[in-house]
Amino acid sequence: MLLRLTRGVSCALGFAAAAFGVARGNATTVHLRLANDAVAERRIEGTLRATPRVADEACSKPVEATFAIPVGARETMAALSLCPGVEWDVVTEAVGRWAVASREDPSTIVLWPAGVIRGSFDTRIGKPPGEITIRIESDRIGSASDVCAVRGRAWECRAPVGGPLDVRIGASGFASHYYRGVSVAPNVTLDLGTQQFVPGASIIGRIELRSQASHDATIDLMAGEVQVATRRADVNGFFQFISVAPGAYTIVARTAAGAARHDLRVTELVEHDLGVLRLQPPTVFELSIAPPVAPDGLPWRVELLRRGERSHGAMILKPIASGEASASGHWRARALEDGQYTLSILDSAGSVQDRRDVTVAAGDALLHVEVRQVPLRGTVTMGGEPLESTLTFTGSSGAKIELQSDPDGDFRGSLPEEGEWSVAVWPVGSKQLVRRRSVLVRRTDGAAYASVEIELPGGRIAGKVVDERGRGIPANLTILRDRRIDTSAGTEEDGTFSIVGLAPGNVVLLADAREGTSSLACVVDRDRKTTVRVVVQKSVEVEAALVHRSGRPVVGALVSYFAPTFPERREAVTGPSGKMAMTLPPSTSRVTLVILAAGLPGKITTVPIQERGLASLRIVLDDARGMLKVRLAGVPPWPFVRGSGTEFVSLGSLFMPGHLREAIGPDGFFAMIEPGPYVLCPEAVVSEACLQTVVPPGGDAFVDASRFFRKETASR
Amino acid sequence: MKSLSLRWIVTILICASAEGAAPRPGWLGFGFSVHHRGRATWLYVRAVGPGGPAEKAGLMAQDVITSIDGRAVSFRNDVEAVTFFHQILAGQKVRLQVSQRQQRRTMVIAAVPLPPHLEAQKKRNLELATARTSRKP
Repeated sequence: MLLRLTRGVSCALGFAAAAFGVARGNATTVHLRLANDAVAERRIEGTLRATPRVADEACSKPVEATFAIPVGARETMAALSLCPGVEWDVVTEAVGRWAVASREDPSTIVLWPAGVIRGSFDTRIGKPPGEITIRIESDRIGSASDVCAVRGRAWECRAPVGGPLDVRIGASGFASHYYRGVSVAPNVTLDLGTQQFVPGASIIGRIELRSQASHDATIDLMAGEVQVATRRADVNGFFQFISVAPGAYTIVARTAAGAARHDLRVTELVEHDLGVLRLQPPTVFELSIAPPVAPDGLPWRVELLRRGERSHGAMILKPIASGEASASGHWRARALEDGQYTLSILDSAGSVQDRRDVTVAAGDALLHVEVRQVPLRGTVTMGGEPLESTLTFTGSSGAKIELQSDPDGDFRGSLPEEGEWSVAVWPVGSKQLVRRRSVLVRRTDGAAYASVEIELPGGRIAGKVVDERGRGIPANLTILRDRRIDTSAGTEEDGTFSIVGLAPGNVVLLADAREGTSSLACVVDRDRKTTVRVVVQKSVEVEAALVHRSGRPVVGALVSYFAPTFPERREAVTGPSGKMAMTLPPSTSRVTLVILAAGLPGKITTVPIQERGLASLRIVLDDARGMLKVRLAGVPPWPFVRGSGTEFVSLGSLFMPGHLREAIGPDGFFAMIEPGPYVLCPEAVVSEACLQTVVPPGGDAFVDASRFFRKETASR
Repeated sequence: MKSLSLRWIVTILICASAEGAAPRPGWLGFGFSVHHRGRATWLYVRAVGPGGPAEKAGLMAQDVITSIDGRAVSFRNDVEAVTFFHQILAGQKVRLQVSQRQQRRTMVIAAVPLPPHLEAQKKRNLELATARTSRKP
């Protein structure tokens, strides 16, 4: 049957008007001939329609020309008046013919006899596709596209007679359908059946190994380290993923003979053609370790992890290979893909003695690692008394060694290198991580081993957590010192607790139980145990109303609030009435709020709280704003900031959770806030290290706080 | 008037099944937390997936959703909210009444299907919602 659109094929030649044919003035000659040197048995008439790809004032209108191949002839010419210096798309229409540009001469259009391909689409998923297009590729014929006719759920396209043809049936916003090696017979309609047009982005490509299609390749679609989908390449090495959501992906193709990776980002719901992915032969990774065995005489254990894409801000390490090295210190991993890896060498106790990043490139890789051993002896004490404990030494290179101190506090072992090490101390039988200290491990001249003395303060707080009726209850305990967490622990089921290893001075003990919370100021003595009784009380609720100075409620404001009576940041959101509620321990006398309302400047304010009972606050927000820009060496830790008349808050609370990346610019972090004076300090106390600035209305204030935290204090 | 502040984030990544023929659950592309104050309940938009249906409809972080398909938001707990959104199908349109930058807006979000790898997140959302709901006094 005749198609509704008796169109031929869009040649999309994309040529400049004067680049081919005979140009006389603006006239361009196009040569049309029948395929295979055939002779016209009937008069063949048609139309050429040229459209400029980029229209300008002088050249924007389509141009048409008719042509005719008389009976007995093989070819003809047609003239198009095309503006020179412009690229044109040419559509050829000829009844019963499929037109494609000649490979030898793009200004020649070859007319093939046309057959019909048809099908129907499944509309069960969402709305049906709009325009359906067909694309034909053939070594013999070439490649070209056309728009198909659609009636109801049926579609029909022209296609050149013959084969084999590779056919793509596509619709914008839907995954295409591919048919390989089909043949179209004259006067016979090829029915491709029903296609389900699935909306969304799709990804296609071809796998090759040594210029040959790889039909046994497995192709994984990865989102970070998550396998989204997997396919096997077909006989032509072709693969397709459909229904791909927007995001960042990696295509990984593998066979026994090689592998290939390709990263892409899907932002639009279109087909992403990766072209040819060429498999690279696998690499053999060979490791030689010296000394050949661990200090305990047992073989080394090796782990090789792949450094993957960052996920939620963290680098993903996926185990690729692991195992025991030989008695001679050799280990091998085969069939590795090129890329970045993290190599770990562990002793039999699982302590990481060496960790480093390695790059595996094409070809074999041989790495020799010398695991250095620094013999170590030392003692650990608490309050001058020997401490039986587990010590975990962590180095900057990632090495992590676990040692045990005996009841005399003595320990010995070996570390892979000298230098600064962070040490975590777990007293035997305790639920508390006592301290993290930075210790220097170094052998003095001529010494056979390094000597380390770890002295923990002897301050202790013991007691019991009870409810308002005096019954012991379990609770989580936090010790705050200078607004930072010093240590944390848990109570026993009956509420009793003992927190050890505290430095002398003023601290705040916070108890958080299901029945309520409590905060208690304590003084830690150097030598004596501080005994306390902690009574938790039900929290009180304080309502706050946020209003704009115009009087309208501020809806959807995210409010972070802080008080000395609880260690963590708490959060509330204003609703349609502009009101919110804060849950506070009953002893809270003042609370500091950081208010982030969309379209309004951020605000820091400290307000008094009435003791007990409900209180109601009214906070007014203004439009006046300025920009605070802060350069930092890195986060965490965040410095503290305060405004005029407010308490210190973490600078990080000025940014919407989960949206930190949007607040980073060339000058560092930036926050739109109320104008006024601000002070930034590395700690929540005023010191010489603090920096002052004034945020002007409508202007910027820049603070370079990158020198904060450059040298960690030993007390952390 | 007692209020229950529910602070948590549900990322609605309602996923599609494999490339199959049956209609699949839809994905709207935004994360929210559920809040109550007196008799009022609302959803607070925490995040909007880039390139997703919600972003295309104009939804933004910190928007407050007060009604869905013409009915005031009235989820009694997190589980009800998660279950509601899990039942939305691909192609289904959801009309939201939103307070955005102190202006009221109505927007329609057309759900699209999601790849299978987000099935795990869907189950996780329901687990989190169940855990939080059961912890409430």
